[in-house]
Formats: sequence, C-alpha cells, structure tokens
Amino acid sequence: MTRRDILLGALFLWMAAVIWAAFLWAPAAAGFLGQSSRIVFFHVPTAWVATLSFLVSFIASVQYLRTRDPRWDVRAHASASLGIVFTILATVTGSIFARIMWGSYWNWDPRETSITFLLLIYAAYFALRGAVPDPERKAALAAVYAILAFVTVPFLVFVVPRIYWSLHPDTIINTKGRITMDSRMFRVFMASLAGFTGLAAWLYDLECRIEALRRKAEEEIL
Amino acid sequence: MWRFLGETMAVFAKDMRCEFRTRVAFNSLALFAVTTLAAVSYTIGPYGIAEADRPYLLGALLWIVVFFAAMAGLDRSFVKEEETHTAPLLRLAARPLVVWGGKLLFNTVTLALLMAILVPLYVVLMGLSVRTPGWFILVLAAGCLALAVTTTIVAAIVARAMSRGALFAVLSVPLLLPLLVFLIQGTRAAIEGRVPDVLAALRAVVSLGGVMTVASAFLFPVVWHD
Amino acid sequence: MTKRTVLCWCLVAAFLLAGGPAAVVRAQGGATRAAVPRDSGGPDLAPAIEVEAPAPDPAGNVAASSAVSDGGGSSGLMAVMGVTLIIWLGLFLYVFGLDRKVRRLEGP
Repeated sequence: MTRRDILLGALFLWMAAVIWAAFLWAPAAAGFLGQSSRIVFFHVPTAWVATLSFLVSFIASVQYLRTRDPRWDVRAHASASLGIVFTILATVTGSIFARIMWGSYWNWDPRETSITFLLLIYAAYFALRGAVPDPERKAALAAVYAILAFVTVPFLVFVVPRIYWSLHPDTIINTKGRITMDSRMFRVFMASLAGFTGLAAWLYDLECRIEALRRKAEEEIL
Repeated sequence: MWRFLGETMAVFAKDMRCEFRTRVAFNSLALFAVTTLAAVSYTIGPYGIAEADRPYLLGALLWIVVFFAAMAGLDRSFVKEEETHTAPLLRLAARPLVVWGGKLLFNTVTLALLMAILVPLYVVLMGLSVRTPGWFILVLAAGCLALAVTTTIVAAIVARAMSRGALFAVLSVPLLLPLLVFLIQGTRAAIEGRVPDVLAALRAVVSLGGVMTVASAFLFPVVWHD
Repeated sequence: MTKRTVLCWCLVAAFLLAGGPAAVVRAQGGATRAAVPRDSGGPDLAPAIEVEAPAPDPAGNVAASSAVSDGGGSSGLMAVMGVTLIIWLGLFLYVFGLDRKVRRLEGP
C-alpha cells in the first residue's frame, strides 16, 4: 500500500459516492423531461475535462517549442489523446440528452456543430503525427498545429454557438453570469467535477508514463 | 521595414515567375473552381432555390466552391519547393519571415485572381442579386485574406510531412470551418442588405484572421527550419 | 520571454478581444432573434420545442411539469445507477491493472 494506492482508493470511493448521489440524492431539475437532467453530472464534467486537456496540450506544445524537451511532446500527445476520448464521451452523453429532450440524437445544434469541429481538429492533429516519420520534426509540427488549433477553439466554444440560437441549456458560465441550480444538485455537480478531474489526472499521468516507456523501448530496439 | 518588404516582394516575384512557367497552381485552382461552378449551376441553376432560401444557400455555395478550389491548389506554394528540392536554397537565401510573407502574398494574389474570375461568373450564372455590393466585396476580400493566411501556414506544415495532398485538406478543414461559418453569415447578410450583421460577421472574421496571422508569423520559423 | 514573444501574445489577445465582445452582443440579442424562424437552426422543430425546453429556470418555476413525468420511479433509477456503478468498477479495475503494470515495467 503506497500513498498512490490510497489516493486511488479514495478516488474510487469518491466517484462511487458521486454516482450514488447523482441518481438518488440530488433531485431532478425542473424544466427537463423526467430524470434527463441527471446527465448534467456526467456530461458537463466530461466536457470540462476535455477542455482542460486541450488547454494542457496547448501549454505543453508551447513549452516544447521553447525548450525542445521531448518530455513536453509526450505530455502534449498524452493530453490531446485524453482530450479526444473525453470529447467523444461528452458528445455521446450530449447526444443521449438530445434524444430525450429534443427528439433526435443529432440535429446540428450549434453546440453539436462546434464539438464536431473540435473533434475534427484533434483528429487532424493525430493524422499529422502519423504522417511525419522523424520524431523531432513530428513533435515540432504537431506542436505548431496544436497551437494553431487551440487559438480557434475560443471561436468554436464561445462564438459559433452564440451566433446561432441554440436549444442547448445555458452553460454554467452563462451570459448572465449567474448559477441557476438547486443547491443539492450544485454540490453533487461540483463533487463530480472534482472526481472527473482526478480521474483525468490519473489517466494523464498513466498515458505519459506509458508513452515514455514505449519510447524507451523503441530506443532500445534501435 | 522597407528591406523586409523588398525581400518579401522578391520572394513573391520569384514565386510568380515560377508559377507562370508551369501554371500548376493557377490551372488547378481555376479548373477546379469552374468545374464545381458548372456542376452547381447545372444542378441548381438560377431558379432551383426558393426565394426565401436564396441568400443563405447561395452564400454557402459560393464559399464551398471557393473553399474546394483553395484546397486544390494553394498547397503548391510550399509543396513545390520541397518537390523540386529548392527549399534548402531558399532557406539559405532568405529569412523565414520573408519567406512566409512572400508565400502569403502569393497565395493571397492567387486566391484574389481566382475570386475575381469566379465571383462575377457565379453572380451571373446563379442569378444572384446583392443588396449591398460594397459590403459584399468587403466580406469577400476579408475572406480571401483569412483563407490565404490559414492555408499558407498549413501548406508549410504539410510540405514537411508525407502524403501531402490528402493531409492538406485534413489539416485545413478544421481550421477553416469556423471561418467559413462567419463568412457565410456575412455573405448572406450582405446579400440581404443587413449591414449590422455584416459588421458582426466581419468582426469575427478579422478577429480570427488576425489571430491566425500573428500565430502563424510567430510559428512559421519553427515549421520552416525543422 | 523575448520582446517579440510578448508582442505576439499581446496581439493574439487583442484580436481575441476584438472578436469576443461581438459574440456576447450577439448572444444577448439572441433571444429576440429566436422569434424569427429562419434564424433558428431547425426550421420546423424550433417553435414546438421552445415551449418544452427553456434554459433551467430558477428552481420551482416549472416544478409541476417534472412532477408529472416523474412516473419512472426510483426502481428504474436504481437499475441505471447499478449499471453505472458496475461500469465504474470495471473501468477502475482495468486502469488500476494498467497502473500496476506500468509501475512494474518502470522498475525500482
């Protein structure tokens, strides 16, 4: 039993408690069909983690270009792949919600459109990585593309969805700058946000270490 | 400053001269645009769309034609240098920022020439009537610049990778999509004559284009020298 | 950080700010624009759904509507929760296994 194991056990219990609370302790929000509002406890944290990992990927890319330390490239790669997984999760959970509330899984709502663009951007990032054989050049070009892609993200996340009228419920940071949520819901929501962030940090750490191991193995083979 | 401009113009003039020897980029752009336009015009024609939908759909179709034409030819500026193995010489002869400026100018001029031919044809063939032509041209010009900036840096990245043709489209599309959304909004508003909406769209285009310009001017040396 | 780097970041920020307020202005105007059907994304869908799906109102406002459709009861919720918990358990065990493996591979 190391300290790491204890922390991971705590994470397990924390998320289990969040799942219990999300379904049984928090009330269903008013204004939503049936229990559909409960998806907020899972949909928003995944979207949050996705945004966070793209931010980490951006910072790591900038750091890579400044220092040329391959470890920053590993970090950028790891967090971008984490980001793409969580973006897919956010898209799937959002799509389920759309089916229940709006009647169809996909209707090109502005939010759905912008998340598709986001997925495309990071899919392109991995396509670029695949197309450059030389590791140093790969790292540099990928970093440049990640930075270019990240500067368009504010437009995707904040501008595009707001130019069109959207069915999407107000985001937590809405234009009025007010939080409209039941206090119990809010507590569960914040707990879930923390839990997902913890989970993402763990996965990120693992990804980095696996990638480092992989590179070491490749060097040994060569 | 003047030296920078002079060197940029030299790179641009060199590119233009090379281009007029073979006309690969011009021909592929123009042919692609005319083919797409013919297909669009043949299948839809001036009366194929209901009156209410015209501004939106015609604006969107125009940008789709321009976008596909850009995808067909604008990567040439850098790919050509790598394919003919002239890039190392250019690296020795000019500073990175100058190369970037020259290529950007070349892409802008190519795209502007294309649009100068394409847009009047489109207006005539599709029977498009624009309420505020001045704003319409301004949106087109802003779009031309922003498209050129984005495709220049992507072309520079792609030239350093494998399977360049496919990769150019794959990398450009996500970066250009938000831009196209704003441009289509702006074009539609210009066709309908709603000036405030044109201004809002233009502002978004200028903002995104400006961010792209600064970022790519800053990052280009990295791409060019690795 | 060279002077040029700082200048670049400042320029990026300036351009972003130039675009940002435009979006907010549009967003506040959004509510009135929504009334015009051709401005909303889904032409036929929009007006019908507008009634059903407002942004989350301050709690209690539309409480009645949720009470009506609450019929599923807690047994359904229990089932969904059970499935979610099992998925979480499986995921956790899988990743924990990975964690152990990585630590073993990394050696002392």
